[in-house]
Amino acid sequence: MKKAIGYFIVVVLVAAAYFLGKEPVVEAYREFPLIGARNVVWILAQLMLLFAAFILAVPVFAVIIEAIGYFKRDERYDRLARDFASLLPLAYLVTALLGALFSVMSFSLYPKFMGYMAGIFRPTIYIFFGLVFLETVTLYIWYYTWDLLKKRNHLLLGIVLNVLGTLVMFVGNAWTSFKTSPAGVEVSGNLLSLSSAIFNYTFWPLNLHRFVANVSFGGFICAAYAAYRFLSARTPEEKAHYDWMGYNGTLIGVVTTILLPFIGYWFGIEMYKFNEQMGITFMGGALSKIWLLQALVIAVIFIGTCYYFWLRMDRLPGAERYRKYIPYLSWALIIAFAVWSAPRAWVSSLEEMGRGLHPIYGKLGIMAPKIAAVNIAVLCVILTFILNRRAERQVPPGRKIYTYLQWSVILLVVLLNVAALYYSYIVPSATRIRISIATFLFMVPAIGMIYLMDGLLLRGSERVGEMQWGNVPPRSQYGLIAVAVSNVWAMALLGYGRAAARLNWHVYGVMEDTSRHAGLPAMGEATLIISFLTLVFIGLVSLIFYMTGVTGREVTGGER
Amino acid sequence: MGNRMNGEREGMPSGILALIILIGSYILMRFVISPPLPSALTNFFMLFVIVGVLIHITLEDGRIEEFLDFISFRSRLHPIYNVIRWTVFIMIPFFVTYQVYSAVKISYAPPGELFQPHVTPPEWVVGFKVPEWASDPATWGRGLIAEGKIYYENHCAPCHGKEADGRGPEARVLIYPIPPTNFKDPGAIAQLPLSYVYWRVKEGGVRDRQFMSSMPAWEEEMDDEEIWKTIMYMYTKAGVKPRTW
Ligand code: HEC
Repeated sequence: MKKAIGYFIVVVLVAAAYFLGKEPVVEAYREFPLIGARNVVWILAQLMLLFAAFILAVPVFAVIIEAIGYFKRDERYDRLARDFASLLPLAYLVTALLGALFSVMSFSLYPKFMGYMAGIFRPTIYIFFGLVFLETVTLYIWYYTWDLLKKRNHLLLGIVLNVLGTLVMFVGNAWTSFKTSPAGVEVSGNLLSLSSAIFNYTFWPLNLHRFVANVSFGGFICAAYAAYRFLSARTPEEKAHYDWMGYNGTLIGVVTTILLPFIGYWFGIEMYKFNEQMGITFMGGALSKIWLLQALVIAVIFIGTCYYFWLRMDRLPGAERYRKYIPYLSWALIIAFAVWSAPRAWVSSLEEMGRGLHPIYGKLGIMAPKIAAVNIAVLCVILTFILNRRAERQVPPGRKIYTYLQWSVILLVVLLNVAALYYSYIVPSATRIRISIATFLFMVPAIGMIYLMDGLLLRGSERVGEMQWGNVPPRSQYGLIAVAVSNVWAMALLGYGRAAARLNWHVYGVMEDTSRHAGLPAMGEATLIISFLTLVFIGLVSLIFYMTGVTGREVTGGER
Repeated sequence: MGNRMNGEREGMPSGILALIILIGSYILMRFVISPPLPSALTNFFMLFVIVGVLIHITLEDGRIEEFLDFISFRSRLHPIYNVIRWTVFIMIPFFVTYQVYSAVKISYAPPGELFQPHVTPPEWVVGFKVPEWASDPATWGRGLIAEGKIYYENHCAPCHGKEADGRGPEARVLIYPIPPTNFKDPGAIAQLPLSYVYWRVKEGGVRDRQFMSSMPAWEEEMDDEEIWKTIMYMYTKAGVKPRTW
């Protein structure tokens, strides 16, 4: 592993030297054989970003879990945190290699554009490499001093690691968001103010969106790792431990995923504020098909996760009481996602065209019903959690009132969404948008209430049966793996969407793409590339899983 | 789980239920809903139904076994269910045959695509400033709107309809790739900023390579002022407002 650190540092330094020493070039574009310059850069950038997301996310929850273990004085959590962290050293290495490769490729294939970016952001590039270096060193120290340092100091180091990681991401986001919504430059592109260039319109939305998405991505990937270890486990203890790990990873993933529609909506609004036409392109125009695909992958993520939780209930003593509700939840989710992914118009043949927009899916295709569908889907996920939690408890007598209150909140959410949906077809669009946002925001206190009632209901309650970790059906684990794969696909798809909103611009409205790859590929071609890079990512990650599984300490204790 | 073999079951076997759901939703989409969903879209939604059924069956160990017994003819069923089971089993080869047949059959229908109502505007529309006098619906004068009505009824109503509902006399034949817009629809002009609508009227769909709709380009017919007045009338008649945020 020390050797790996050595290689890593060398690669970073070489890459840094390469950019900083680069002479300004005259040639604007160079070509790459076979698949073309754009696709190479695209694939490398996305792969690098996926790994970067992973290495940024895992320390976030590894440190939190470690802290839980410390304050609860529970060894299990410490081992769990360490298990999560064990994937990091290799992942760092791969990220660095991909990052170096990406930078070399993009500087040599898009010299003019990259030269421009480097010119605008020169000071931040030094900062970036400084931070990456510090972050890397901190990671390796943090990971390899797990048992050596006093726990309190180790936690502190973990926090430092997270701060560094987040800063690295912020710097990268400044570059990315500048390309989408440039600020601080003249029309000709000359820099006026570096700080406005950094703090442009979409900088903070991107920061927040990426941070949260990274954590959920990391959670799901870790859950997939746990699933892999579960399926290949030999002893019941090992099975129990990795079952528990998969459970926690999934929980982290799905709780943060629930936040994402809200932040994504904010991102979209900022984009509209920056430039309406770009907003239209993104939400309703050339890229609107992305949202249909997104609905599909998110369906896999939500339904897959719930499936996993439902299957737990098949083996959970005490859950019999609640099993009868599950089919309702599953069908409600299916219908919600069918609505979410309904296209507004679909021309397939003259005979089928009928007259105008179809009365059913033509109406389902606009934003309002989709927002209602998202709300209902989120509600189903929350209910799945609640049932899972309640299954192992004996509800104390005399607290029926809380259940009733809970039911009324749920009913209220449903009614509100149905009513809002009905109204949104008869009011003007400005009101409609406000209604949609209101129903969206209403979910927050509603979920809060549901959980509050749950807390009151179960206060001091007794457990009916203890979850038997390691006892879940294997098919649930395949569910987790499917969720992770689908998550990778979603990240790559939406990353493409964000970049594609710029259309034929390198920097929107400032620097045009005049290469022969300018403009957007057909959606079919784009999805092929997305699928390809998802496969590559999964391949690389499986390699990391495998190597970590082999070299990692054998877990023998299991749950006691 | 125990006594599963050979015992006759109570109630409807889940295999039969699954069949009812699958076939039922197909019939619903293709024959009950009118006009029926296009076949490609039906298949797309059938995907959801199939996934739903699979999830339903695999939720409990007991149900999986029951289902496996059902499809492997291990469970003994009520005669009616048994007949259904056999019928479906026998139908499968015919179904596959038909699928193959329709896949290779030569068809003259245009290729299916997801039609996107709002294409990406060209660059000049980006950052286009709506003239002061037309930019705020609250200040549109009656006179301007009345003038717009004349242009609208002459130029636009044949397709978009006198009532702005997309049902002009010509609309009956202009259906491909998309019929004239119903301006009252919440997803049409109510969702667009004025600059975008102005571009759509000025350059139309016929010349737009992304689009190719029958919406004519009006820039040679009408000057800017006329276009704006028409737009004012169009919004007023449809009873919707342009997007302002
Ligand atoms: C030959 C028939 C025809 C005539 C005449 C016509 N349109 Fe259209 N129009 C269409 C069709 C078809 C569409 C839908 C496809 C499209 O958006 O290009 C459309 C779309 C539009 C849209 C875009 C709506 C949206 O949601 O994107 C606007 C705005 C519009 N028409 C305004 C007008 C105005 C104003 C006039 C009169 C000056 C007019 N049209 C005359 C056929 C016509």
